[in-house]
Amino acid sequence: MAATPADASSSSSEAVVGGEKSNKMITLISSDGESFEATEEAAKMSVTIKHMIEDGCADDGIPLPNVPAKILSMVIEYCNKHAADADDTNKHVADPADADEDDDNNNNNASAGEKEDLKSFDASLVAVDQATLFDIILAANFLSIKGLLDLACQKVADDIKDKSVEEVREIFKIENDFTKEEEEAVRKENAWAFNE
Amino acid sequence: MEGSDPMATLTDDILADIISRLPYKSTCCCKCVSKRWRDLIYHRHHRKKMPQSVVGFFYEGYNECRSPRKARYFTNLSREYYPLVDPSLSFLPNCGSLDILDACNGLLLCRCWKAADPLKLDYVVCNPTTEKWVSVPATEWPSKVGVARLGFDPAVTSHFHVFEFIDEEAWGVPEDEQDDDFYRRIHTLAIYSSKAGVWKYQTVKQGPFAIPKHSVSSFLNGVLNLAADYNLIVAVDVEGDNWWLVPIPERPDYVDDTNGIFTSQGRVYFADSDRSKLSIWILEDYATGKWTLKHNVSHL
Repeated sequence: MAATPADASSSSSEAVVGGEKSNKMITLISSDGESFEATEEAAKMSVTIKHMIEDGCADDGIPLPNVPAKILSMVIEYCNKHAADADDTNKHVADPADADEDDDNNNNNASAGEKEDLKSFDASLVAVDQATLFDIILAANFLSIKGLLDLACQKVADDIKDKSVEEVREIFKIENDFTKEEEEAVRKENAWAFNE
Repeated sequence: MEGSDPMATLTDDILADIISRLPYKSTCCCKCVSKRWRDLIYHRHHRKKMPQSVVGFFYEGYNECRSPRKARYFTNLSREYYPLVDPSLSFLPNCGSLDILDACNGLLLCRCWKAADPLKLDYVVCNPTTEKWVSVPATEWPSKVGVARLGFDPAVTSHFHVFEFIDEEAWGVPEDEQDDDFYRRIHTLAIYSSKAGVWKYQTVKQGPFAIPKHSVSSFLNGVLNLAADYNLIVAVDVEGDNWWLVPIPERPDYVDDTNGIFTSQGRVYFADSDRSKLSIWILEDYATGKWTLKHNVSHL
């Protein structure tokens, strides 16, 4: 993804949080051998990748044996979207002296709409089938992308909330491995939760 | 067999993260889903993330042949086997002697006599599980007031209220002016708000009513409900603005005992027992004072 136009004005005088920005592209290779390009900035949303870049291991592309192409492209999409948002926020915070500039006001006006955009982007990203959602969680976990992990885990939690025990088992295809006595015991202890 | 368990791919840490985002009630349902889920939720490592419930009670024993004569115990009713609460509440500083006056949703209201100055008395509100505490500035009355109660609902706010029901005698009403029919009639209500940090006083216009020292009470939806003398339930909200005096349900036998009041699942109940049966009544409405009989259980 191209760097946002705002970058041009910010690079000169501000110390941006997280080190220098660059337009350098990083290659990420999925488990099935497909290559994806992402800006260094977006890629660094993954703490795992950030460390690899800083350790100088990223030059020939970063293989991600745990992440299939379908998931990796979604992850990169997330990082691109959120890196741009983080960029705006950092710019906002980085130089308090700029607080009175028009630039800043524009950011303020844009940010409410942008936040809405981001929210609906996030919502549609996780509105996927279960298998894909779990793959996203595993990828976000492996890549240490906190925002994405939170987003996806929250989605699963929302799907579980207010469901009965049987419904949870059905939705997630979990086998009931309690013995009759064990199940009775744990249900009895938590009977108040069943609203009978 | 049906399709394999996709959640098996999620690590325990991730599953614990997901479950910890659920409201407590859902967490309890989750314990019943499978062995893995149950063990995860109970596991010491993950329990810190989960909303915790320590279910148990304090009680005091008295033994003349022992020193100290009075001793306090805590009984743990939940399945976890390691003690979560130290009944001596030793984490409270400078407390020479301590009485637990009330408990509400995990917090305790205590009355503390200072070690340094035995005449000085404070209220302390503490969480025995986390060992956090705050002192509540004393009014003139803690030593004289029999009825102090705590109102705390963590689902609504992290602030609490302390209620002091000050009777005529404690307030200093001359004996010949005191109410003849209601011994130690409640004269003034003092409410402390931890948010405001101050006590608010109001002269009680409702009633007359009197509240026995160890009266059963229950706090629900911002209202403190107490068993009062003469078959009455007294209810007041945290602002002291709304009062209700609700007679307990009619019974054929005269028995002066309102201590069957309790709250459950958002409603106020009254449990009444005579020789042959136990009756459970639910309060439909504070304003009308209407009760509905919910259950009749025969002893026989």
